[in-house]
Amino acid sequence: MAGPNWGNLVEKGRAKAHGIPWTEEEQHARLVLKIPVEFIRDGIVTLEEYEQCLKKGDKPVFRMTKKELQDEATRLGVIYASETPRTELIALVTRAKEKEQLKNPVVLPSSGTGETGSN
Amino acid sequence: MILSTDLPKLRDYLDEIFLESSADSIAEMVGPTIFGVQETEKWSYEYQVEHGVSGIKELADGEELPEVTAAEGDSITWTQREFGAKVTVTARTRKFNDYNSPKITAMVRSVTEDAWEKIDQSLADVLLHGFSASNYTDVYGKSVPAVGPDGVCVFSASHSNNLNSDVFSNLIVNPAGTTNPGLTREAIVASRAAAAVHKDANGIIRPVKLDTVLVSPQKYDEAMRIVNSEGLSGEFTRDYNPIKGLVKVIMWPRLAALPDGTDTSAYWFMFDSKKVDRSLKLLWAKRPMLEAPEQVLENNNWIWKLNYYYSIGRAFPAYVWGSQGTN
Repeated sequence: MAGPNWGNLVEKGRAKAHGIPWTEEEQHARLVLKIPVEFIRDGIVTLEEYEQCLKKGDKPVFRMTKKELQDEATRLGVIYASETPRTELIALVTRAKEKEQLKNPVVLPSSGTGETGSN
Repeated sequence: MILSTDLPKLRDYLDEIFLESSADSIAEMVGPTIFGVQETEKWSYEYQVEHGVSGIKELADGEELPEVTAAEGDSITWTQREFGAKVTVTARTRKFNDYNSPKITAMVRSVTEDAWEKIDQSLADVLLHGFSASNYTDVYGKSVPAVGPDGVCVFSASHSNNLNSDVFSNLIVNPAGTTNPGLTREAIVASRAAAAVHKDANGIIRPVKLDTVLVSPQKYDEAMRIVNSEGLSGEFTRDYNPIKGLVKVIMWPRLAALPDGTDTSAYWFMFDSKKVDRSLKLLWAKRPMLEAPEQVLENNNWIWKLNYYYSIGRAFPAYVWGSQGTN
């Protein structure tokens, strides 16, 4: 395939995605602000945004590192290889999580008597 | 009238026109004097960046020589592209013209010049489009990638390597460190100093000697005065010009504008003349050739074919620096 070794560049966080280089703003976030590339790929390019994400505590699948995704895939029983790209892992883990939720639906707390108001 | 028996004569004559036009065009080309020109028989050519080798060390008495280890950097694949055109000498043209008719020779001369000019412009476009990582439309009207082996554009402050997190810039700077400065003596001096302490991926200084300034015709006079004046250009002191004799100036008319007409005459570049061929490559699988018809078609047209294969390589970019001249 023509062009640089995108697989290697993406894997090492040196490109945004296959065939997509970082923009200047994203390079700045990566090299100067030292924001993890998973967050930059999700549009987080300032320290304020990054700190807000950290405060919230939750980590969506698409902000996980490849290692975190592999661990999650293992937990969910998803079959993958070490060569499986991060983007594929995101899709696999997301689907597996959806299946898991269907099997174990979250029971929402009762919303009251169910009566509607009258005019 | 050109008879069927005149085919060999016409073939020889058009060959002559082709060679003459090619020689004239090649003499005018600047691109191949900067790009590292090489032949290849591969459709896809894989280029591997090597960040030097390490292994030299002081030896104790009787000690074995250490193994040399290569520090392998990024890689990139350059794929050949095929270009060509048909030159048709129709039956009607043959009936009403001689073998040396301008109607026929002009076609061959024009298509030959077109080929060489497009090749040279495609090389200039590598520099002119070197400031953005986005694909661009080349002189042949096709969208082509603009990134090198490290996934960024040719001129960037964020060139990285495959070994560690070090980055380097090949953007021309002024003494204040501002990138993309206009053409000034101070910017030439500041960039030469910055390039001279370029560190490789192993952390060792590997000086890049920016000894050539490359400009459009609009900037040529200014560049010549900056570089070749005895004293400092534009100043009343009797000081001397330290870069005179250390730097040479090359004019490349194709730097004046992009194929879409965008004015790029303020862009200017500097390179290390001994090593620039490691940064920019021109790989020929077949140079332009004019092939004569082997048979006459049913409609009595005689068709000459001009075609060629080449690819352009953006390799390790440290030896060429650029500025859009905007600051």
